[in-house]
Amino acid sequence: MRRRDLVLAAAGAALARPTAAAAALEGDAAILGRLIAREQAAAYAHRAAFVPELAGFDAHEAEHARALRTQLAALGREGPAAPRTAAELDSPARALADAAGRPAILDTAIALEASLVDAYRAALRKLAEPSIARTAASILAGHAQHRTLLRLEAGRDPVG
Amino acid sequence: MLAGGALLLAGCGKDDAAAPPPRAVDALLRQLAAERAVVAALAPTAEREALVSRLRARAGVRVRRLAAAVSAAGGRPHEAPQGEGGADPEAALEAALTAHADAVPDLTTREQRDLVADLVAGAATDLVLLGARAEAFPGMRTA
Repeated sequence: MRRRDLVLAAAGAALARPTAAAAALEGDAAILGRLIAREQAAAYAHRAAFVPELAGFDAHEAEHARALRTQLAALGREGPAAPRTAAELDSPARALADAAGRPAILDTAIALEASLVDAYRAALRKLAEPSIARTAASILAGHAQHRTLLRLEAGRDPVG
Repeated sequence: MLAGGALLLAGCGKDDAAAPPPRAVDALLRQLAAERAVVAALAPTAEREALVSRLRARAGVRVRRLAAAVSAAGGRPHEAPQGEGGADPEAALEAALTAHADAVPDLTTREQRDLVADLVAGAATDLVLLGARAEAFPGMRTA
């Protein structure tokens, strides 16, 4: 895939640079690992708490995890394993996976997506490698769209 | 002689360090132009008046934040062109979102990264409010 090729080329070029970028890339790798875990947990939770309003969100989260994993692999690292049970999820994802009934599912899904927007906002402050930072910004945009659509479905102000 | 050479080298380094980094200003100006185009594209209309008015106000906030960031980075906001009316609002928002995502590598301070995160989220939100489908990677160039 073209995007994957671009990501690999950019990460490879960064790795070819000597020590100046090494520490920054180490930090990027740690951030990528955490974001992959968040995305995998979110994908699990969206599948577990399926309602029509969330259709496709799990696939988006899985795509995010794959894209981030490709970038992490280009840095020579493996990402975390996908969760196999709800007990392995982070708190916002666990809340969605455990939610019962449409209102609770929408509320917890909104909270999950908001927490993911916050996670990427925090990550953007620290990510050094340009292609990784740009991908993170695009994924942040995707979670902002999820949050907005969920708020609409829940009857809330979509941008409140 | 050696001291003079060292001073000369030091002076060169100082001059280099003092030069403002142009990439951030250029990126911010491209973002500002793109958001001004969004404002222009969201012309008042009888159809969906409340929504269009709200989105226009939100884009106006992004324009003001970007203009302030351009000034803070040593640039001149007036160098970003004003938008022209008649453009498709959804296309203008997509272009703005792409401009924000493209700018990320050139915006390196914490303040600039926080700003671009807000801009990306805001433009992406407004896109779906206009009726666009949610995507996995909004604003990502694939060509």
